[in-house]
Amino acid sequence: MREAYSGFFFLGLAVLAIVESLRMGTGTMKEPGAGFLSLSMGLVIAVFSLVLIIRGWKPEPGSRPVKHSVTTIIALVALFAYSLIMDRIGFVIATFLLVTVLFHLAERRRWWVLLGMSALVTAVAYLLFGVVLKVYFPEGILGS
Amino acid sequence: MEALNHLIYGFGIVLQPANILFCFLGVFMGTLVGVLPGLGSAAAISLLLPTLFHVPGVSAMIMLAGICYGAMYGGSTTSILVNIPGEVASVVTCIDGYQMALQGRAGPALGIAAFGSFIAGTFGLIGLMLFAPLLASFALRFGPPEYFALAFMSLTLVTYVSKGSVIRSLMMGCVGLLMSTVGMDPITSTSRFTFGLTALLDGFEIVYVAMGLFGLSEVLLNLGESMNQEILQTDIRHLFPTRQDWKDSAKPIARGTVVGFFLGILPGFGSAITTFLSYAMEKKLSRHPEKFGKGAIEGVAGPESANNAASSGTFIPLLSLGIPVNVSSSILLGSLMILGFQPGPLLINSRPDLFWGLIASMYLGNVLLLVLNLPLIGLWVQLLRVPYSILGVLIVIFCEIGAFSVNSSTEGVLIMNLFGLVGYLMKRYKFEGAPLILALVLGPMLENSLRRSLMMSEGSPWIFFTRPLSLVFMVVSLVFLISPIFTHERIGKIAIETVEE
Repeated sequence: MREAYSGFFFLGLAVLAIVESLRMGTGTMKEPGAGFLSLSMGLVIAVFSLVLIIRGWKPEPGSRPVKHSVTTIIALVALFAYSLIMDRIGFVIATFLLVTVLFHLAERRRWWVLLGMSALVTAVAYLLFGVVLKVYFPEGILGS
Repeated sequence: MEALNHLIYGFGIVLQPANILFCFLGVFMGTLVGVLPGLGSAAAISLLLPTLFHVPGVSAMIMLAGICYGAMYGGSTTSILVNIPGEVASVVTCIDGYQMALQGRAGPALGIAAFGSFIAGTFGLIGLMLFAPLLASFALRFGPPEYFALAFMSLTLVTYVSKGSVIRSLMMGCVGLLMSTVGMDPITSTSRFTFGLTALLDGFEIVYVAMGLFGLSEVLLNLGESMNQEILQTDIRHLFPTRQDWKDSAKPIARGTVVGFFLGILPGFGSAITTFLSYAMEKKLSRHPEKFGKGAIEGVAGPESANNAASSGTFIPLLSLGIPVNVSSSILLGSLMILGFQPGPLLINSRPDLFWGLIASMYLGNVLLLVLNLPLIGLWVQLLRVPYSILGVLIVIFCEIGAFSVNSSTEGVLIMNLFGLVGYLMKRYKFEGAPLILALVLGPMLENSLRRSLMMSEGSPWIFFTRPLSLVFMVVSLVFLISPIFTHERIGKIAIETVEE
């Protein structure tokens, strides 16, 4: 079924591409428009998706469904949260929190080791990028 | 003679103190990237690019190119000592390199890998120096139909040499082309697939895509998993191979150099597949094929030379045509554009400082790499003791900060994370990243030349088949596109299966 799931996902993407391309105008063969290539790609992707769906409909003996580890899911949530809250709480706090979560997920450590390592990585990152390379980071609540 | 004068001019550029430093930093980072599993040269270039915005373009490119070819040297260290390839191009080196290390011959294995890489890298450079300007002057005759056909052939070849399913590779190529249409249409100025997001008006930044697909996703896949990083407890002595070792390795190095260089020029082959082909070839040609897999020095010398020669070969289409042939050169092409260069056949003549400076820097870089990889081998071995649970987190943090620093905006971080998720899912569902990134980079050129060709021919697609050069490119493309329907034998697959045997 793994192929079928991929097929359905890409079919959705193809439909989106086709609808949007038609909306923006595909032009003619003599004068191809903005949606010409995307429409063509949408149609080809749709055909390939159908092949994947048909091929994946019958599960192959021995094939197992893909499982995602809880560690990866938590890490992904932490990463997206980081990009969404960095502006509000600032680079230093957001990075410290992210590093703490990731170190904890990667290997269980004593809490003081975990916090110490996270503080060190955050400090080095700030010094290297913020001070040496002069990247302007959001200060967030530490700046107000 | 003219080439020699140009080379002297190039050395004049690279021997400036700042450029020597950038060259050293590049090859040092390259070796680091090669040694450390989980961080490829594509992700490393994307990661470092934002820090080079204030550096002169030529210096920045000297450093980024150093990462590319430097990674080929470093990759062999982990393969030989830990049995984990630091780079895909070093997978094959694990087979006989690790066996040699188990037999107490880690020194000669590391030595022949470094010397083979140096010899192949140097010969590759001579080839690059001679062929690239020739190809560039030839490409001045190209019109839109030739460019379309060339881009189409590049994409077809990439999918053909992939190791997985053709349908999946083709699908990734198409998704990459679709992604390349995001942003402002250069002809009509219509905004496409931006869904009101201003960050998408310029399309997908290659830096975010590469960092997400090749940096972040790799860590996400391995986070929390224990990785065997047991370094072989062996004395690394006798790094200089014996006379017998040289005798056994001379022909494999020569063959690896030639095969690697010419295949490196072709789209899709890159460094990884050439190593598989070189290994398969050495095994077939050997009088003692039974020695392969049990510590044959030929199995280290051939592939290690091939990947370095291929690394030089990839620069030919990149610098003379503006066509990338693998993931790393796609990112380098993106970097060229971001740093203000205009890739294409005019680049060598319009920016000789860049081209000849780069060539000279590679000669210097190869010497620096030999020093970094032989006397300083102990340093890299120590680095291998850093556990992946720490290294992986550091890679993620550098990716996040790197993405932020491109435009000093969290939108970039969000987009990069999104591609990290996409890359993770692609790996889990067995979709390859190379066709996608290549299509994303080649997309604007392909679309532009397709539309201009159709306008020229008043809508007739036969224009691609009536001009001799584009006809050749199209026929090659169609052969590679159609042949998997009739046969399951493909070069990538065959080479990998031979090695697995």
